[in-house]
Amino acid sequence: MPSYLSLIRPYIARYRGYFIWGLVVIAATNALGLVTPLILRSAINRIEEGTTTGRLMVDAALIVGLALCAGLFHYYMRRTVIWASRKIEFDLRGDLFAHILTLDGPFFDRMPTGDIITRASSDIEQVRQLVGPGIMQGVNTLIMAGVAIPLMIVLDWRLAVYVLVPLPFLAYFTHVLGQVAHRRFLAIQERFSELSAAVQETLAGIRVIKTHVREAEKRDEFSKDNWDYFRLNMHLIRLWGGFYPLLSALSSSAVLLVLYFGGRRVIAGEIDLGTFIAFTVYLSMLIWPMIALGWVVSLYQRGTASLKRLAEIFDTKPAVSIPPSHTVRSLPEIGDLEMRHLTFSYNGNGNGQQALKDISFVIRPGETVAIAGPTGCGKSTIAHLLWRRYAVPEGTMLWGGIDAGQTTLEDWRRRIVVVPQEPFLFSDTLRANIGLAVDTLEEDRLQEVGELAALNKDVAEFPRAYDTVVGERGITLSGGQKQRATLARALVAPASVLILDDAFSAVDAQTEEEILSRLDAIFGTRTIVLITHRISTLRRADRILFLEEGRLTDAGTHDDLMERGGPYARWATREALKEKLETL
Amino acid sequence: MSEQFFEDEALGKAYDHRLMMRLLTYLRPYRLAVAASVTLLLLIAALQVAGPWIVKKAIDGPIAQRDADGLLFWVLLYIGAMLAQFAVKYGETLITQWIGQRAMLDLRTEVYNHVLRLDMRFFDRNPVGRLLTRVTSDVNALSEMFSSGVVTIFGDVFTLIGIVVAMIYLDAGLAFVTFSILPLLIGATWIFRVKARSAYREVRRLVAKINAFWQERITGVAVLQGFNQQRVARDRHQEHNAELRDAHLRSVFYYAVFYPVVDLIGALSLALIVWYGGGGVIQGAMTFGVLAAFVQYVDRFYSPIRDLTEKYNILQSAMASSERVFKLLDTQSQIVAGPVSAGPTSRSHEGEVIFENVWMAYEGDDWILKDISFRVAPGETVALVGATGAGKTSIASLITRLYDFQRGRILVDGIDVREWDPRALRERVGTVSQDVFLFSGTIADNIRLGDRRLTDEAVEAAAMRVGLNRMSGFEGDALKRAVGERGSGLSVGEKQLVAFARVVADDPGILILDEATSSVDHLTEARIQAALAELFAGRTNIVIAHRLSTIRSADRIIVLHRGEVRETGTHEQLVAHRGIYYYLDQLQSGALGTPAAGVTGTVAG
Repeated sequence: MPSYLSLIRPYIARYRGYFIWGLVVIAATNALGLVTPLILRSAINRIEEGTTTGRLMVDAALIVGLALCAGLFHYYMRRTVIWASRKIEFDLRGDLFAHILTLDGPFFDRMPTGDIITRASSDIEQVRQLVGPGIMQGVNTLIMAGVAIPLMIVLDWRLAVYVLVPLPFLAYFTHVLGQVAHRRFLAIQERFSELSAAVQETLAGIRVIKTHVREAEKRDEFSKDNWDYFRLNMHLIRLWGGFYPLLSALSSSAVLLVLYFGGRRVIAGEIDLGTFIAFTVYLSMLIWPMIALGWVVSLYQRGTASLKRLAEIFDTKPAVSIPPSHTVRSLPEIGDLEMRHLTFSYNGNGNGQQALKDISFVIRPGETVAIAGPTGCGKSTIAHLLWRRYAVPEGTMLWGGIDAGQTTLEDWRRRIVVVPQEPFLFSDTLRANIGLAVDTLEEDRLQEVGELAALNKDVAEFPRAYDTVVGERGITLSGGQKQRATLARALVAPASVLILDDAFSAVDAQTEEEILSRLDAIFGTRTIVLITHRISTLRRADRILFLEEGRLTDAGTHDDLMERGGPYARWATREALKEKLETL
Repeated sequence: MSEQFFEDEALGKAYDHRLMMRLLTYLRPYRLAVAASVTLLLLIAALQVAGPWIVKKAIDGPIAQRDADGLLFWVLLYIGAMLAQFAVKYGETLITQWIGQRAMLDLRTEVYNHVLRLDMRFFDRNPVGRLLTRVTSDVNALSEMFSSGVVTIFGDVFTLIGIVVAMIYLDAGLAFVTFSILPLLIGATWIFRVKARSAYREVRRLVAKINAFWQERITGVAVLQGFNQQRVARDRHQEHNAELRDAHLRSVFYYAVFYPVVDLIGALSLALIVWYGGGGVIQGAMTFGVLAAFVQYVDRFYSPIRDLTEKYNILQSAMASSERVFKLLDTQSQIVAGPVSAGPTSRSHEGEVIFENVWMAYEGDDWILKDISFRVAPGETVALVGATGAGKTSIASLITRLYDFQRGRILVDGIDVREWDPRALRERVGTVSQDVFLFSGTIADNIRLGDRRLTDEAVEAAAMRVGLNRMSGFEGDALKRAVGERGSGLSVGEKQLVAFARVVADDPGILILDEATSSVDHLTEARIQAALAELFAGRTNIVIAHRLSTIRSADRIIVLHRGEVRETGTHEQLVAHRGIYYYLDQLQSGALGTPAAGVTGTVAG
């Protein structure tokens, strides 16, 4: 069985009770629906022969009673199958989210956020349509056709042959037209998001448009897109506008066949009027399921395509593998952080461009170590690896002598925390953002880390202080404020190593200096790793590790390295010059 | 953004006469098409009524009389009616949809063009996301109303009237008995529409919410994992997920109830027809044909009633969207255009910029500029220096009249900026802003910015003059190099050079340059300095300077502090003066821990 089908099987199995009941109810609904024409037939035949109004009353009551039962079954049909499909959707989305949270660097590098969200929303919806309405309508059509067609043949096989001829065409026609319409619809949607993107861009760059007096040009551009969108819409309408009228024309043609051939046979006295009318009713009952059949085929195609896309995520395993539980070793709170002959490349180990080559170093508890080097030298890669976003070869990264591969991610990340280059805050209160690592954040602790990160003064000016919501639905923080907030968040975590990956790029040098001195004063046995190219920051470090093109080419204190006149000294001199010229 | 939009979607009243009249003006250009569409709808209604009528005729006539040949006529008539209905319906759909799409096209164009005309203050107050919603989603929400709301309402009414009249004509007694199910049908449909629509709205809101949640958690996944917060995130996700599931289940319930109820009502009417009509046939008061026609007519009641209840919802959301759109259209630019669209009035003022006692506040009495006066002579290069918030960028914005000021006068080429046509003014005064904004496209597109009067040669020449062609990776067809959204794929230095090339291509007489603060490598720095010399040549230049070399090369430095001009002079004069400029200079060099050599523009980036 292809993996995408085995993906959905356990979910259906979980709710098999719903599905089994659903099938029973569908069968019952159809059975009842099929009896009604028979009653109608006998009623009409009786009318023709002349009967009492009392007897007619019974027939009328029978019709209503049957409809009542059919309605009840119909209700349960939706309550079981569709109900189950929504529950499967819920489970599937929850499982997908949980699975994605276990994935790491290589996956997120490969798959854009928008792509993941599309899979979580529209692909899951397509799958739901397959297991819900798809199964319901599919089974419904099969039962309906399976019972109504034989009944019609029994009633009058010649008439049955005439009227059943158009039905397969109806199903095929719905399917084909549905596919074409779907393609055109997708084209419209695509054009619409392009149009939105263009408008968004123009509005974001409105200052440039205005200062360069390009309003007229933008108007022309928009007009072109707008007309394009109009034409695509009309393209779909030309197809879709004819769809339902044609469907009803086709279905009436079936009725017409009954009317003509049936009418002739009634005239010839070959069948009675009741049979004739019952026939018409069966036929009209078959038309919709046949239209639905075409639709079910499309649902199946789209649903399985979506399942494949979901399976792609579910089949992805995290790059960082977790050891079997009996071999897991727990990490000491304090230990040396070590890299041993570590070579790493982003696209699989060994092959391709190596981001780090044979890196070895030991950082002792309480040390402040800086990692420096020109852009692209591999500084940030070290931060990624230390946070275990990517897998490293066995025996190359250790804490307190224990190999990273022998620990759980959770344990490792409790020891080491990174303040990433790009500050990221959730659209929630500042308090919730800073307290991310802990269940409850005490006010004192918040004030303490806020002070350390030089954040309190800024926050005092926010409308609701630390309870101010930040991000899309709240206030927008400056780059520096964001960086300081993410620092505060990291300080709350009781980690032994704090890695600052260029975490002060939007904070001015003076403030950075202040923050670092305060951190030094309180840290004691905690280790700080500074990834930076600011000379003033580098001077503070106990030791500098200098990287060039993924290799460790210089190490020592700033003064020693400057004196030695090696690669670091050459780079730092240029950097200092640049700083003088540019940071002004 | 999407979430906000859905929360915005509050339900107002279903009908507002003033809004409706204004919406209808968008149909006016297409009134002939509207008339054609209504005519076709009338035809469709007639054909809808004709079908069952023909069936009745066939049953009572040839079938009852056992006349097989006579039947053929009615069958052919039925085919004709069917084909006609198909053709007319298709034509009507095309016309009506065309009207709707055209009206939307017009409205979208109007909104977009209007937004482009609004002033910067408006853009400061309205986030891009909200404006985007007006141009795209809000206008689209009106499409339903233009294409299926206003026009097809006639069709539904015609059809209902036609069926009622036909039924009464055929058999008034049976007709009224059958009509007794109508209140049930209308009531059930109505309740369902209201419930289903609000459930649907709720679902949409929750879908937007959960999508926003995913977006954020995936963007910040490294943070969640780094702080071991996967479990908490999963729990939060399941809360949103459960909310969405429950909303879905509620709407399943409405559908599960509604369809059986409609079927039941159908069975009721069938029972009524069998009982009452059957009795009539027995007594000879009615024919089988009438009975058959009635069964079919009752069947045809449902769709116009469903459509009509749907119209209520369409109107309701159209009113809400149109109110927002019209509010935007009624917002006027605060910058009133002056009559001057030509260059300087006299040669002596050409290229001159004068500030005379200018006061400016964005809000109330919060003065950003206080009594600013200075003159920049034609051809002069002046550096504006000061800490963040000193008012440098505001000065730049006032010269091109992106904002208005409260007191004083600003003269460009000897003409008050309020007398200029802003477009002419901005052609005269070129701007390079601090954060260079690039559009997705190519480098050449970004230099040309859509102006087709600029030839390829002119664009290339501009790129050459600022040295864009000498940047690494710009070999060969450098100008065709693709630029991503917001200039991604280009370095800071490259972006600046592109902005310089824009100015060179436009060739304004006066230039305002807001230098970027971000750092670039020393090679790029050298290129930028060379490009600046090229840029400044033959123009009046006002530079908001951050770079030592730029400040030094200026003819004059104006030092701003808290919205006031505090010092003016050359670098040497100002250092000797030992005032604010000297202090800024010292502070920055002190922070660097190197001997005082640097000169500062800003204390904090």
